[in-house]
Amino acid sequence: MMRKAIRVPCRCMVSFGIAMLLLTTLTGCWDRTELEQLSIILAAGLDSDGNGGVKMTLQVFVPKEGGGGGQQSGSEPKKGGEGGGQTTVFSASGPTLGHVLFELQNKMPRYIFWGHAEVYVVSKDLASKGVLEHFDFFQRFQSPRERALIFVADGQASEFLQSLPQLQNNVAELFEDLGKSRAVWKISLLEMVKMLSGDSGTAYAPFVEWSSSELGVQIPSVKKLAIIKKDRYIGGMAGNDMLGIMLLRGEKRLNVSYCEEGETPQDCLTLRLRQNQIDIEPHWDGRRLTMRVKVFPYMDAIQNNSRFDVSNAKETHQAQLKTNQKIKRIIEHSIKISQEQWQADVFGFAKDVHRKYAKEWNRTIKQNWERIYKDMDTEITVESLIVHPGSIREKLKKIGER
Amino acid sequence: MIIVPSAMPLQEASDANMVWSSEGKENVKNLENIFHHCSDIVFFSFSFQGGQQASLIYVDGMVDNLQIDEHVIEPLVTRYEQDSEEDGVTVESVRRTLTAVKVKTHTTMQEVVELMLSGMTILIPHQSDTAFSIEAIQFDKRSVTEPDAESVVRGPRDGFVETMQSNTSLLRRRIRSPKLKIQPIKRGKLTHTTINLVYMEGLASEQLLEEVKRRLDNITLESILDSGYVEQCLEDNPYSPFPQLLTTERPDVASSHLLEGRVVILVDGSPVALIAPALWVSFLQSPEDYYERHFFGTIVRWLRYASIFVALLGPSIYVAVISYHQEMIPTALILTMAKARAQVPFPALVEALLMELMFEALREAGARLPKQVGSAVSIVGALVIGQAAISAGLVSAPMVMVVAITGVASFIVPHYNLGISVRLLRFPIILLSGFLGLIGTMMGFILLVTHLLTLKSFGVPYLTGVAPFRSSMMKDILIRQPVWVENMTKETDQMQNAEQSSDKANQGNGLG
Repeated sequence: MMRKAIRVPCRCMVSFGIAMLLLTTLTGCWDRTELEQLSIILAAGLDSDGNGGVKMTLQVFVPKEGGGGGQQSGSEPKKGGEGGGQTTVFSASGPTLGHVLFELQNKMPRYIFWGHAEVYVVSKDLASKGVLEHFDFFQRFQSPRERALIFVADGQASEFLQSLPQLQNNVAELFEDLGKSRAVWKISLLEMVKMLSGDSGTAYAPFVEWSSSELGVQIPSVKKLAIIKKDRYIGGMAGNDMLGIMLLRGEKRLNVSYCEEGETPQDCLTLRLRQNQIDIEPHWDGRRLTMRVKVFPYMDAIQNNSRFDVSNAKETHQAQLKTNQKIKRIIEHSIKISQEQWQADVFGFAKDVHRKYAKEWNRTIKQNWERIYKDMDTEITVESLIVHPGSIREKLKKIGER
Repeated sequence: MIIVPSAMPLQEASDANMVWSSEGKENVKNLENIFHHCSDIVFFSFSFQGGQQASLIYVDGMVDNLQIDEHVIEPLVTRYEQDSEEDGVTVESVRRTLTAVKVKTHTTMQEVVELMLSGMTILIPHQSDTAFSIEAIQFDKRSVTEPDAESVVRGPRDGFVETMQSNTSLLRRRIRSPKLKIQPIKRGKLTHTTINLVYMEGLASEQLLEEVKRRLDNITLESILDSGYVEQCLEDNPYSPFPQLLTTERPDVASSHLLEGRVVILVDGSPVALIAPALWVSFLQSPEDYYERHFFGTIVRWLRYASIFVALLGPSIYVAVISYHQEMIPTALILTMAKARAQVPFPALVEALLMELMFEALREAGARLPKQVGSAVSIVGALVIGQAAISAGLVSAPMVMVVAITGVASFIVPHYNLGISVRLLRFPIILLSGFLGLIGTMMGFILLVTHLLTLKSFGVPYLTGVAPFRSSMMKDILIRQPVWVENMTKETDQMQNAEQSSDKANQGNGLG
């Protein structure tokens, strides 16, 4: 009985041992790539190369101690500079991205590793010639991430990749942080492609441009949203129009100020959006489209110099009415700009129409969406609610006046 | 320690001398022949008051000389009275005269030899066919101290020692019930080691008892020097890397398992008790889980579950991810890692094996070194697995962290023997991960789990509670149920015994 029990596992052990020994002959085979054999790409920039082709710039992490090119002081009023603190850039150009990648790989000593490239910056010039043909590369090739963030750059994308951020270690981090700071700025490649291939055929992406900071340094910042219609960049929406898009996309942490008309700007009530419910109800009568939009913003007062006492229910109601008007105006204007200036459905209303009027959409609306959108009426209702009057009740200004 | 098998077992050694003669004098002579060249065996001849010659035979150093003087020699020399007119010495008169408590009579040479070697004093009157064994054992033994290998912050501080009597008394003191049964078995052809089978009658199942007894009977070892010998003979699958008997030096742990219907095997000469059947979950339970409040017990238990995975898979996952799946590491981390690895000459696999081997070597060195030079190991260890290794450019800083974390995690396992197997199993899994990436890691892990699922300890599936699933055991696996919830009755069907609830004696000691 004892003997029998011994023999069976013995054979297993031997075969296991042989298998392990055989495995040692496999080293170097398969797809083992040590970390030090990779050049880790942090961001990729796409520019037009001037004669119909595309120029790709890769921001590459420098693993050796001390970084590449040494630390640069942040006070130099200079765009770009010679590489980042611990990053460097490689670029090549060619007719297609696939071709460019081949060129780049020849230039670079190590294997290009896309796994950590989380930012793609596309220059305005290239974007206005069409982006989808390049995005095909990112989507089809397995290595690049489709969750990487898309930015449209004012000027050369490569310049942005060469700049040195003040807070972050490298530009890729800066762009990621920018993307995280606002929901409408966090547009991944996948989302963009989805929007472009969706019903409205219009996408938006954060538009990054140089702005000079107080120290005199040029820093990348986002002030408007780039509108990409049918794969081409057509323009941007900034200021209150961008705010309108943000409001309708359910963005939080927005500040809206209501100011007394005709009085000094000090007489303002500034509110911060805590939560935002949006209810979009399209109405199609066969010829005209009416978009009924209901917005329910929940807001906190963060500064109050207006005549309203927001801790008093009656006066709060008054303030809410005023705020409603203000928000309504912002949204209306935003939609109007998109209708008249860009003829682009940035808000994704097409999806709601398609959902409600599926048959009509396929039969008539789809073909004429651009025209219908342009003539679309809007009925906007805003019912804001000031939920939190703030930490103090009385206005400090009043105390000063006394 | 290597045991050289002696040329001849005891029985054959002196066949001619093993015969019991009716003449006492002859028997003493035979014994002298059997024990020639044994200077520690004392043959002491004296005469009774009536002038009858007798011999006292005992092992020097195992006998309480005072007791023998007082209760054997003194009465026989001064007060012995022959009750009949016959010439010989009668058993009754000797018994009457002796004032010692434990006196037995024997008439075979085999018995006499064995008893004498286990510390009994043998009295052979020259004119009698009977030998008397008097129990007056006293030998040097270690006092009951706290076991170093299984220390607790809170809980009893006594531990088993090398002496069987002390160990059984430690158990009996905790479970004052006649249901606590202790059955001795002698094994080991040369060493004649006593193995005590301890169990609670009515709690331990009959099949289990029979199986344990059958396996103990089948032991044919020449020598048993520690319970480890017995353990290796009792295992269901001797080729498994996992321990299939629970070992403990703590009487409180042994008692708690006894009360759960398990069997405790005590081996004379070893402070380590064996507990059968052993379940996987029992290896991850510390007695302190029950002594501390139950929140603490639950959290610590989960900490152990997590760390056994870290101990097993930590370095493997590191190797697999860093050489195959770099996209799985958060960007900020991989940038630091890439920086740290830039100077290292070895691939991650070699690096991991090197460091793990060094760590194992350090652990082994620490366990073997004399206490006086023990601190040297920790100094060297800190250099080998630490900053010096990194600045020497041999390994990267993240690897050192991984090895250190794995080391800590493997020491969290409260039972040392499971910790050893986990630490050893790391190596094949590191190799697999180095060759096949995470697929290799998972292959190794699945192989292990499959093996664990087939493993049994005394017929009980090793993973009982988890697979086969027992919802009743979950209160002791997922959480540590407060002791007041149910009067400590736990798991397995064997324990569904009505007698236990009526047994007041158990309740007082029922921790565990």
